[in-house]
Amino acid sequence: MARHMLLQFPLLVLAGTVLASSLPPRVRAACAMINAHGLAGLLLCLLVSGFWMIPRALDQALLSPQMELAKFATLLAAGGALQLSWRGAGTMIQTFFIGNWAWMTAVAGLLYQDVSARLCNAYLLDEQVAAGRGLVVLAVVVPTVLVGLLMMRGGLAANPDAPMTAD
Amino acid sequence: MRTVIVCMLMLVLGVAAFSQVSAGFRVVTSEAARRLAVHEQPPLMPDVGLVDARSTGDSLRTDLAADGRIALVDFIYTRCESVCRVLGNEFQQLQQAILEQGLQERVRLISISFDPTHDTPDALARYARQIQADPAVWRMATVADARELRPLLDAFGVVVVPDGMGGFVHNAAIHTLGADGRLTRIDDLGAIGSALRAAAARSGGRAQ
Repeated sequence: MARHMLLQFPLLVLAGTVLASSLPPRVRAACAMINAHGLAGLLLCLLVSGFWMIPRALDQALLSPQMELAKFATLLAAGGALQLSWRGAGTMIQTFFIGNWAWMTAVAGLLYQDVSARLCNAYLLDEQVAAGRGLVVLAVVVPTVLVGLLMMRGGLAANPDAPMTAD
Repeated sequence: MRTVIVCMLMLVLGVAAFSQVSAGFRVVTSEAARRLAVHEQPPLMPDVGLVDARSTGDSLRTDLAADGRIALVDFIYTRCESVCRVLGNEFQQLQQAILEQGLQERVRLISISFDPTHDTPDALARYARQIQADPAVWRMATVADARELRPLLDAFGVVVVPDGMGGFVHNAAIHTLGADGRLTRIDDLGAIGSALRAAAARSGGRAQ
């Protein structure tokens, strides 16, 4: 379960971002037309990652080939959308998006660890706890990395170490 | 504006997808979904051939129809040390309750092994003696043809996962089957009282 959620999912999203970065400029421009400030793309990412945290969705992906196909397609699309939306989103929307994603992931991770019954019929209880821990770790690491990146770029005005740019 | 429309569209599709996977925001787990589906529309179970030490012929639905009693069914493997011990206990308690309340003419128990390689009819008969199963109330059987196991488990919605220590973990529960071969109800292992009450009520009597 941990490998499914914490290895396969991120790899699929990563593959999506790679695919999107190789899209021709015309397609990128067309996507940008319906994706002002990266809002539509980031919304897609939130919906897709939320959906695949539902235990029944995970079970179904293992039992039904159609659901497995949908999983691959939506996670690749989410990766692509992330790549196409991230730059255009700007610091405010990026922070809002990652913040939302992080608390959603953390809550799911805490629930996975807290529930004493098996949530997925396909996975053992200790796998569920491991996946839950991993989700919480991810929910802490990703925002931390984001803040680190923003500080390096000098995007956080409150940071005294960041190089000040003259107006 | 276009972005807003696309976002709205995505939200609608998202809500539809979430609603679909959660059976209208009512369940988040497969187990809850399985119980809800059975409750709303009792499915007909496949007519697989079952064997035990006494008979080799009767298929599941033929047996149910010929017997006429409500059957409380569980899935087992006799090498099990963990939850099946509990389930064995639950079914032992159920047997006792059935006999105490004089329900043996209306309700019976069937344990089906999902490990036909180890649980031969002889092994099942030994196990039945060991846990003092009364043959008049409690049948221990397994599939006659191992290829029919998967369709049977799928129809019941039972998922068996190897536990990495030579055993299995599965979503164990008490399944209520009518004489018509339909799965009408799924109860938690601990809920032997309500499973038996429901079975007794359906067969026209009253359980204590």
